[in-house]
This record gives sequence, structure tokens and C-alpha cells, in this order.
Amino acid sequence: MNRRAAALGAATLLVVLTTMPAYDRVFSEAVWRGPVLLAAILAVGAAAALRALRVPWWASLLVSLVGLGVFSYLLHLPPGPAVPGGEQLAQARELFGRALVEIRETPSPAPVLSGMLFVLTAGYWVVAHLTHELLVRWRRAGLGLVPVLVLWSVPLAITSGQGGAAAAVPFLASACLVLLLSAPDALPGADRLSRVTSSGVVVGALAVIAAVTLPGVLPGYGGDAWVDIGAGADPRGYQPIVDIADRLKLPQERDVLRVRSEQRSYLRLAGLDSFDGFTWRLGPPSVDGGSYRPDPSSLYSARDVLPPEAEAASTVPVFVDVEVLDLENIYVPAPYQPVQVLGPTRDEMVWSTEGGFLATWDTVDGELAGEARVGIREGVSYRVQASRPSPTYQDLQPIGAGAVAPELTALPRDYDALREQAEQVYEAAGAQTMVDQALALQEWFIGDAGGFTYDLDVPALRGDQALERFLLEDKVGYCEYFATGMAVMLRATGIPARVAVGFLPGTLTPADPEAGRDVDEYTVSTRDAHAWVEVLFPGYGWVSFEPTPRDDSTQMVPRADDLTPVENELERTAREARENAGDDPDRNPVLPGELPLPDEDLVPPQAGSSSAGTQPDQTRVWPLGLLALGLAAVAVVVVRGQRARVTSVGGNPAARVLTAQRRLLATAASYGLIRRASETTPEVMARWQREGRLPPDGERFAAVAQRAAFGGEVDRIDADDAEALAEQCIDALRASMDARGRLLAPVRVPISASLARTRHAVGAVRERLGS
Amino acid sequence: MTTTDGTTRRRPDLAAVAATLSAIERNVTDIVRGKPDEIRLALITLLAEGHLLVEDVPGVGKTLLARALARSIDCSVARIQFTPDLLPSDITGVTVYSPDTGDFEFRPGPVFANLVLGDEINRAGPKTQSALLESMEERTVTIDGTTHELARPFMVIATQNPIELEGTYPLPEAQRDRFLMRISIGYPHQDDELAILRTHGGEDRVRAMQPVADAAAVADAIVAIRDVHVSDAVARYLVALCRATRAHGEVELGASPRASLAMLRACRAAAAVDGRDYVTPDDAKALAPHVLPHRLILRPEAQLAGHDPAHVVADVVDGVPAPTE
Repeated sequence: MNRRAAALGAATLLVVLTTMPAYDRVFSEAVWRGPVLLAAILAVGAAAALRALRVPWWASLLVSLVGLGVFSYLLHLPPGPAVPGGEQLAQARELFGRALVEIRETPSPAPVLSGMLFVLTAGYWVVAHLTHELLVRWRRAGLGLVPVLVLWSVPLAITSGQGGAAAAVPFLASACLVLLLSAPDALPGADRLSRVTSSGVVVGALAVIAAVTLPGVLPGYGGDAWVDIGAGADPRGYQPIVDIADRLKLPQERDVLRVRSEQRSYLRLAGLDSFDGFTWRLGPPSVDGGSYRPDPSSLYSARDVLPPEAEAASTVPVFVDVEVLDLENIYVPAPYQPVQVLGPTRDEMVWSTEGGFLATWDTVDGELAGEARVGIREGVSYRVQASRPSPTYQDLQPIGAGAVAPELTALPRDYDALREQAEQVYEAAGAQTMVDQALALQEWFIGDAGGFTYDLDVPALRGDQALERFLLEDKVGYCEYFATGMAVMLRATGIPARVAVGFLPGTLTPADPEAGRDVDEYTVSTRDAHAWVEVLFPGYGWVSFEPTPRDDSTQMVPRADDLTPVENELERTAREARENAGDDPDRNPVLPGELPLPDEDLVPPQAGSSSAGTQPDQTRVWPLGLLALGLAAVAVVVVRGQRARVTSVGGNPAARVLTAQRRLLATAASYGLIRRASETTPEVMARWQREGRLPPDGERFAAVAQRAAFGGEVDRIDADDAEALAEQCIDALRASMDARGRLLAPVRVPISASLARTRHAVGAVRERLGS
Repeated sequence: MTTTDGTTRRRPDLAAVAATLSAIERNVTDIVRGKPDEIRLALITLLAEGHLLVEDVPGVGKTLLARALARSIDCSVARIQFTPDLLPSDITGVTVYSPDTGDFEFRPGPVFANLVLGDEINRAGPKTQSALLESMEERTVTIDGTTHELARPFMVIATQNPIELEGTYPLPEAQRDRFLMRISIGYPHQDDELAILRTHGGEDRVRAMQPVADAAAVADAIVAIRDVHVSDAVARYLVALCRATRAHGEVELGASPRASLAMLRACRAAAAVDGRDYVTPDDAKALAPHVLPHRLILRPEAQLAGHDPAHVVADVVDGVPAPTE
């Protein structure tokens, strides 16, 4: 093995190993590193050794696969006989099957499971072998980096993690090292190149552009992963409202709204009534596969009084002043259901009686036109007057589902287990009416009976039975899980329900006329993002239910005695404690707004705050994009300027011939057939021909090579011919060596070369001394 | 056309050159049997605008080669038999008084021909030799303050007899390098000698030769080969060869820059003769034994040891790394 191949082999190993840090985010423990490291080293080492022994590529692949089998047998399968038999094969197959399940079902960061480790080590082994063969054996540097690039970017594409662009540096640096080592020492006629060739400029510019933009645009670094299988925020897993929710993973907690209102109320974005098994959406997806487009006939300009979405016989008025602090959204946070919007932005809002949402819309000359757009942004203020449906328990007692639209009870499949569970709950509570059933189910979720725990840091739910697993087995989740669970169970028992997304009322700053606050002020932050359930009671409208046992108790839970509470659970428990204490009102002096909130630094990945999360990423990426564009423009200018004068060396037939010649001479030298310095190519070819090592074609090759080297005309056909001839010559030279000579050449050639050098030096010294 | 360095250069039109050369070569080969290499070298010298020194024992066909070459080209030919009493003006020409015009009138000497055959050049005195050598180098003759241009093409083929040292004036080393090449003819092969007996038995065949090219064609060819491409690598190789002769341990005086230039011109001509429009290192290696040795002066000890410049040049060619691209 020559020095070049050794260096390239080492670089190959390095570039494979630098992909490993990317996998740290996939696993929660580090024990996977040892086996993977070992697999990569063994695979590259074996490939390098086999190549040095001049084993052809297919044999090398075969040996490597056998090696992988042995490695996996020793590492992953239980100890068995020295020669594995059918039993071991069955075990391997089972392990592979298990791996597929593990990969599908386990959210990241994952514990290191045996199946996963098996697949990962095998993957590393294969990629390492492939990369070595491409880079070292075939010298295809560009192609050779593709498998490692895939290996490197997969974890970044499927999981978000910390690290930033700097974490990409080791991998990119080692990839650069590979490219540098793979480049020929000198381009043919490099000393004659007065200018950089256009192909060089193009490749260089592309490389710089890629280097500048890749870490920025690659998911997982900086931005969110494309497909995040991470905890609690998996759109593939269990995310009721992907279209809104996947924009809402918030980089940090921040205040999004300031609300002035006489009373506490949820600020609702929309009611999602279409469920596909994983995702709640606004209405069914449109026919062409695009996102939901509301029926124009259900849209009303917010300049006028808004028609109710559903008739509500009993309502209380709610007035809310909203000031947007840090939020960008299409949907307008508003108490349900709004009657009138005040403020200049109302000209750009529409009210949809499907889904009951206010959204900002394109306007042309004051008329609503075209598409929804992000109109809620920092600095926007508006006042909403709403009529909150506030039926009493008695009002709702006689109300049944009646003839509601079938899509309000539609489910993507039969949830028999959930229906049975819901019926058990109803039965246990003796609930006969719709309101009783809804309350019973709500109680099942937030009370002790269901045994649910609120936790933001839960694995994503995946698989067909995900909802069942959550509701009947795991029982750990957050608002989206609970809202989905309750809505699905309600629908399964024929009750029209949907999931609403929006914000909890937020943190109260009580009115203080001395400080200039006439009314209570609520600060809504990203942690107040929330999802809950709405049930349609014909004639009384959509009534909210709250299945989430939030651990900060800021949710407002309707109860039979108060279906439309104005206090949250914290205040309620404080009030009840006060009432129970009775004679000692000072026992609970803590004011609700001052209550210490649970220490929680996790970002609540609920629906509601919408696209706010994307803004920091956009600001981070656009300078890079601009830089890339600038570089591209410079490259284009340079290339266009040079194209007239310079042709590409890479595709130049003469260069190809010279490369073939260099390859021929280098290969011969590696066999110990060395061209003397003073020999020209035709001379050395003639000598080898005399020695019976070459067919007469050698002369033809030499003639073309001379033409190419010293300024003769060489066309593509000549180049093809020369490359073929060079290969023939290499084969003939190899055949002319006996196996022993070939094997010993890597040792013999350097030794005899250094001996010759020493002899020469000694002779020179002796001559000088003698004279 | 583009080369590996991406530059575009003009390709000389070698078709006409090749046609001219092969016609001459065939014509001469008919007369001079069994000496294709020597004929080729003579042609190279002609194309390179050089002069040829043929050095060999008498009777091997030195003069025959020169004459055959001269006859093949339809141009003016002059022959000077060098003798000890030959005067410079016998070569260059004289100015004589013309009674008719009452004026002095220049009568050009034999050197004003396109091809000048100088037989046994070493028999003339140094002064006469110098007159010829000066005109060879300058390609002009200055007589009585008037400079006369020589014809183009202009080539001197001089023969020299190394055996008869009595009464000869060997060319001074310093002037030998006015000749582009020095070649020797050598005895013919047995078969060729037999053929010579058969064909040369009768009348003078050289006289019967028909010219196959004219002076203008040769002049065009000379211009054309100036475009034969010499890559940087080959140019460096040529220089390296010449410099190596200067560094050689046995050499007193090595090849001069004029020698490098001579190599360059000879290589271009050789490439053109082979029908190539680019020079290869092999051209240089093949020509070095003819272009370089007569320019070298060996150290006395090397001369005493019986070494000759040809060995030195072989050494040098064997020692200088040849470029492959």
C-alpha cells in the first residue's frame, strides 16, 4: 500500500468517525459508541488491507460482508457454536425484525436497544467499507462522500438537538481533508496553467456555498429537524394539529400577548374539527392535497358584526383588549365567540363560521381578497367583544346531540376500545345526558379515576394503536394528548366534539388605578399555549371542557355547578381552602396572580402560538443565503469571464490521457517496474515490451501520451483509446509479475529505492573526497 | 486547437512540408544507399537553417550525400574544394574594375549559392576557413564596406577528413559550433555496398538526378517549422541537457546557449520531418549525440584517458531526467 492510499484510508476512517457525534442526539446513553467505533475501524482496516493485497473489489466486498457477519454474531447474538447454524440465522432475523420495531416505536433520545445497535453497527460497517472503496480504490472522492454525508445528516434530519453550526465543523473539516488528499498532486501541465480553470472555479464556489449554507440550512443544527422523532413534539407521532403546531416549538419562553380584560378568558385561535388519526385540522384537507381552504361563504369581514358560529341561547359579554407582544400568526387570539372586533386591524380580518376562527387576510383597497396571511405581529392591538356561551347545567340537561353534522362525530376508524372505556366511564358516573357524559369523561381525565399524569417530557406516540396506548396504558401526556383523547372518546360515543387551540388566560396583574391600570392585565406567554375540547350543544353553542390535568393548574375546568368558570384551578382551590377555613381568611394569603409557578423550563409544545418560533431561524438563515447568493454571483461572473479563454482541464482529452499515463507509470512503479528518470514514456514502454511485459499496444499508448503531453492534438476518441490501452497495459504488467513479486513489491521497491539513493550519496561523497 | 494548458495556438501546416521533405528524402535515398539516418539528419539540418559538418574517412560518400541533397533541390549550388592556397576572396567573391562601366563591380563568390559544398574544409588555411565560418553565422558577406545578403535558404555542407592530418588545419573548437550538427557517414552495410557496386558502376548518377523541390518550397518549410510547438517541459529538458554538459566532470568547455538554441531548432526540424507539430523529449535524446559533441572540449586528462565527447553526451542524456508530461 503506498503512502497516498494509507493517508486516504486514514482520512476515510476519520470522516466516517466524525459522523458519530451527530448520533449523540439520537441516543440517551453513550454505550453505542464503542461497537460503532470498532465496526468502522474494522471495516476500513479490512478494506485497506484487502486493497493492499490487490484483492479485487468484489472479493473485498465479499470478505467484508463475511466480516460483518462474524462481527455481528460475536457482538449482538447470544454465544453459540463456533460455526453459526440455522438457529443463529433465525436469531439474526429476529433481531432485525426487532430493530425495525424499535426504530419505528422508540422516540429519541432513545436508550441503546440491541436491535438498534445491530442496525447502527451494520450501517457503519457498510458505509465505512463503501466509502473506503469509493475513495481509495476508485478515487471517486465526490461519490465517496455521499454515503458518509447520508450517515451524517440522517440524525440531523430526524432529531432536533443543540450544537449549532459549529458542531458541523469536525465532519466538514474531515470531508475537506478527504477531498484534499484525493486531489491529484498536480493537474496535468499545472505549471502551464496561467489561470484557474473554470471547472475549478465552479467546484470551488459550490464548495464554499455549500460550506457556508449547509450548517445553517441543515435541520438539527440551529433549526428544527425536518422529521423530529424527539420527545413530545413529533408530528408523525401524536400531534393533533400539525399545521399549526409544528410551527410552534418555541426556542424559549417569552411573553406573546398582553390582555386587558375584566374577566379571565381563554384566547382561542381556532376549533379543529377534522381528525385523521394523528392530526386535528381545520376542516378536511382540500381535494388537491393542499392545506384546508375555508368555504368563502363561511367567511365574514370583521368590519361588521360577526354572525355566530353556532346559536347560543345564553351568553355573557366579554370585552378583551389584546396587545401583541411577540407573536406572528394568521389566526387572531380572541375569546369565543367574538361578536365584534374593534381597532384598525379589523379591516384585515375575517371571521369564519367554520371552525369559528378570526384570521388575518389579504386586502386590496380595503376589500378582503385572496389568501390568509400573517397579520398578527408585534405591535398589533385590537379589542374583541365576545358573547361567551354560558349555559347552565340545567339548560344543557335536556340537550342531546340531535341532528348535528356528521363530520363533527367523524373518526378515521373505529376506536372500539376507547368507546368501551368511555361507556364504562359514563356508566360508572351514571351519566345519561350529553352534558353529564362530557363532565364524567372530563372528570375521568383530570380526576384520580383515570390516573393521568401531566408531563411535557413524554415520548411521542407512534403506531396505529398510539391513542389507545396513551389512554389505556401510558396515561402520561400533555394538553394535546388529553384534548385529542377526550374529543375522540366523545365522538366515539356520538357526541359532537372538536379540539380548540389557543392560550390560557395567562398571568394576572391585578388592576391598580394608582399605577394606571384600570382593568386586570394578563400576560400570556408561550407556556400558556393550550389545547382543549369543545362540545356542541345545539342551541347553546360550543361549550369548552378541560381534560388536561395541567401541573400548574392554570386551566379553567367547567363543572356541573359552574359550566363557564371565570377562575382557574389555582384560584378555585385557593377559594375552596379559604371557604373551608372559614373563620381564618388569612390562612391563604397568596393571591392567585402571585402564586409561584412550578419550576418548568420545558417549552410547552402545544398549539396556539403558531409561527412565532420560526422567526429567529429566518433571521439566522437569511444572511447566509445572501452570502451564498453573492458568492454564486461572483462565481458566475468569474466563470463567464474565463469561459472564453479557458477550457476545463477535467474534461480535456489531453488531461485524461496524461492521467492515464500517470496511473500506468504509478501502478507499474508499485509493482517495482520503475521508469528510470532519464527514460521517456516511449522508451520505457519499449523496454517493457522487449522484456515481454507489454503487448505491442504499449507503443500506441506512448505515442498518444507524447502527443498529449507535449502539445499535440488529442481528441476524445484518442483519450478513450488511451485510457483503454493504459488499462490493458496495467493488466499486462500485473500479469507479467508473479504473485510473490507483486506482494513483495510494496516492501522491495522502497527499500531498493532508498538503497540506490544511499549508494548514490556514498558515491558522490567518495568522489568528492577522492578529488 | 487547445492544449493541456488551455491556450490556443496556431498549428503549422506540415502537409506541404512533409510532401517536400519526403520527395527530397526519396530522391537522395535512391543515390545514397543504406544511410537513411544520415540523410534524415541532413534534412533536419536544412530545415533548421543549420550547417552540416560531415566528418569521416575518405570514400564513404560524404560528398555524394552533399551533392545528392544539392541536386534534389532546384536551387543554386556551389562547390568549393578547399586547398591550402585557397583565399578568402575565392569564397566570398571580389570587387573588380569593369572597363565597360568604368565602375567597380562585385563578383559574388561561391558562398552566394543556396547550397555550398565545402569539400575537405580542413585543408584550407585558418583565414579562409574563418571567411566561410563568418558568413555561415552572419548569413551576410561584407566586402569593401558593402554588406551583401546571402541567399535563402543557405546551407553549408562541409566535409572533413580526420585521417590525413598532414597539411591540414583542423577547425578550431571555438568555431566548430557554427555547425548545427556533425555527423559521420560510416561504412555501408555489406548488402548496401554490393548495391553500390551495381548501381554506381556506370555514369555519374548524381548528374542524372532531377530536382524534386525548389528553393522557395524549402524556404517555406523553414518558416513553417518555426510554429512547431515546444512545451515548457521539453524546453526545460533541452536546457537541462546543455547545462549538464557544462557540469560534467570531464568537460572543460560545455555546450553554450548557442548549443541550446541549436538543439531547439534541430528538434523542431526533426519533429517536422517526422510529421509532428510538437517536439518530444525523444527528439532531443536522438539529436543530442549529433548536435552536442562537437561543441564540447574535454579536459586534457579525459582526452588522455581516451574518452571522447560522444561518451560525455551519452552520459548526460542518460543522467538528465526526461519529462513525461
